Amino acid sequence: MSATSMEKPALLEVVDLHVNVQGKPVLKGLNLTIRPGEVHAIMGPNGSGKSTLSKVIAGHPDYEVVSGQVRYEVNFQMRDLLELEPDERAKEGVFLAFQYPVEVPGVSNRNFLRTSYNAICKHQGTEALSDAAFDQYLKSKMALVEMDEKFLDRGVNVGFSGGEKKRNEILQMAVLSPRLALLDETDSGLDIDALRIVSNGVNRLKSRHNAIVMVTHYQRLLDHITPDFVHVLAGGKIVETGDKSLALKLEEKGYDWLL
Amino acid sequence: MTGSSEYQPPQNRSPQGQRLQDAWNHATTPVGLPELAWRPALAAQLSKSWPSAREEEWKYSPISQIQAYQWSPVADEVRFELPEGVEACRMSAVSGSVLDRVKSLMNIPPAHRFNAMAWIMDQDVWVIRVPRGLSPSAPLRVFAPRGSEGSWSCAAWILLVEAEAHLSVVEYYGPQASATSWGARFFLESGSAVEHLRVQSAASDSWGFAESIALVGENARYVQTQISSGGKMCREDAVVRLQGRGAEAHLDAVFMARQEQVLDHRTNIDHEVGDTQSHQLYKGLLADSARGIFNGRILIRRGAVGANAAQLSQNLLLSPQAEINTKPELQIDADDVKAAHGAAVGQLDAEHLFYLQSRGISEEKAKEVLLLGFALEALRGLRDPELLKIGNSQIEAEANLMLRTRKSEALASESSRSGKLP
Ligand SMILES: Nc1ncnc2c1ncn2[C@@H]1O[C@H](COP(=O)(O)OP(=O)(O)O)[C@@H](O)[C@H]1O
Ligand SMILES: [Mg+2]
Repeated sequence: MSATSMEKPALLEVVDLHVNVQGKPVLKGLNLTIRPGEVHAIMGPNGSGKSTLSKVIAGHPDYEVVSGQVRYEVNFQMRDLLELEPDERAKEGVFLAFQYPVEVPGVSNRNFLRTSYNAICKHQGTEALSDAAFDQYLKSKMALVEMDEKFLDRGVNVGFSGGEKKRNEILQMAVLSPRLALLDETDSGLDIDALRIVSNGVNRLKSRHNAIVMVTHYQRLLDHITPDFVHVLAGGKIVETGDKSLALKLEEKGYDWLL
Repeated sequence: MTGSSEYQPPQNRSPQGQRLQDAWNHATTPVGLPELAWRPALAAQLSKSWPSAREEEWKYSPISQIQAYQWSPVADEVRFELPEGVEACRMSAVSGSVLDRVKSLMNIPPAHRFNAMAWIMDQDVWVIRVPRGLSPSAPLRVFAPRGSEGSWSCAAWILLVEAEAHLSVVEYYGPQASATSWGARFFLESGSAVEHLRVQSAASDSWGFAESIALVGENARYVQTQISSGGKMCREDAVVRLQGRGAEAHLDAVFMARQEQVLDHRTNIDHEVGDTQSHQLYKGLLADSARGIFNGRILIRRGAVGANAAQLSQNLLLSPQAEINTKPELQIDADDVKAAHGAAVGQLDAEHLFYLQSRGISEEKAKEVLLLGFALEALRGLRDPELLKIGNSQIEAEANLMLRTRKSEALASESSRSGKLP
């Protein structure tokens, strides 16, 4: 780890985390520290527990934490993230871009984004925007991910293509400006143009104050968004950590040499 | 009808049954029409015993509760707000081709005896006519009579939409009467289009029987959207006959029932000819110990090649005591047709809830948003912004009412639980 990153206090600390899914151990002693301003990539074979880690951090009720800790900085203090409800985590700046975003029929994308944004504003003690002001704000964020306005009045993700769903996730990230963004295979299923748009969006949202964790299988995403750290998650643990050159090595050699 | 099998001992006659039958016996054929073919059969039904839960038709209805009452059947007035260019006249005053259409509408039998009451008691109904090619920008507003307590309020009306005419209709059906029979019959000529929103908001102790019958001609398009939330028990029958090639029907509804309410929806779609389409989405939102019923009949007649029928019944049960009885009845007598049906009963989707929560929306609020979203889907067929606005605010108001009672109940059960603590 570089000296500069050592100086900063952590934003997220995962310590010896063990998680079961339907009684089956999936995460088996996972450790990970993330500081503000950092970009992490998590790679690893299918089924190794990458989405499980993201879902646990976001607070999905199906994942049972057996032991270990997940601590998250709130107002300069490390708090037990697992004690917070999913919506409380989001209000404190945790954001998960889902690998498979669900379709929510009947709820318009605009209404969804506004309800979400206003809930977070309220928590942070800022006044909710008027509908007109919110629409204006939304417009600027939509430009960031080059999304057409027609998507606002459709049901959330309903009838969106795979790529459109991923773009919609990044739009939500842009609207909510989280402190910790977990992007679970946001690059999967994107064509070259969509990948460029999504990566540009993420790069524009990156700052000294927030951290980004990208779960990915592909080096091509890392060509657009340069990671500070690359981790390999295999068998429920981080088995290797390196800099961006590790991703190149994985692309060339696969995971076998680590297992 | 004669024969010993028809004989019913008189002790089966209930006070209310006697009242209805007396009224029926005094009623004559609606003014200006020849004897209606369906009259004798329904009259015979009325003169028999009160319908019982043993009859398939009334299996899930608490209909027997009405028979002890003696509400007086009365003909009540319907009120209209007509858009410019739309004409109204009494059935007794129509003649020529208009009368022919009225006759073909009136020849269709009502789905049951209580729907028939609407047409027998209301002797000289209004016939509303939209002249050829007219497309008024404002909707036609129809106000069903409110009636009064102790009465069985009966009223009906007819709509003729001439070729290439387009019309939006809002029907406000919110009676205060003890019981109502409410009927509407629509005739859509070729190339015409109707968007029909019915808002049912009957008083909480009233019993309702409403029916709509639509004959849809060549390349005509009929959209019906029902929002039902009132009444102790309300049954709504929607009958559609697709009679010309290219005819389309979209029947969507949301029924939101609470407490002991029973909301009963029946559809009956007849693809008389080929290249016709029907789409149905019936959504039930049931709280407390409410019951919902959906029975969707689709008939695709022999030779109706290229007919396409789709039916979906989706239901959310918000309490363990709530119940839904949903049943498709498909009869397909033609080849090369498409027919699909599905029914779902469940609670709110946990993945949807988590998705909203992961965006900072509290569990309580997320449930509200999802519930409302579920109900609002019933408006999918409407294009008229005015109808959409009315539909939206009606659904929002009713969904909020449903949530408020759920919340106060949750609070009540919480306090009763904490009350038990030592
Ligand atoms: N909701 C779930 N129900 C059952 N099994 C699950 C669920 N989520 C994950 N798993 C299992 O946990 C393991 C890890 O899955 P996941 O975290 O999705 O892996 P990855 O994202 O690395 O491909 C897999 O064996 C998967 O089948
Ligand atoms: Mg995954």
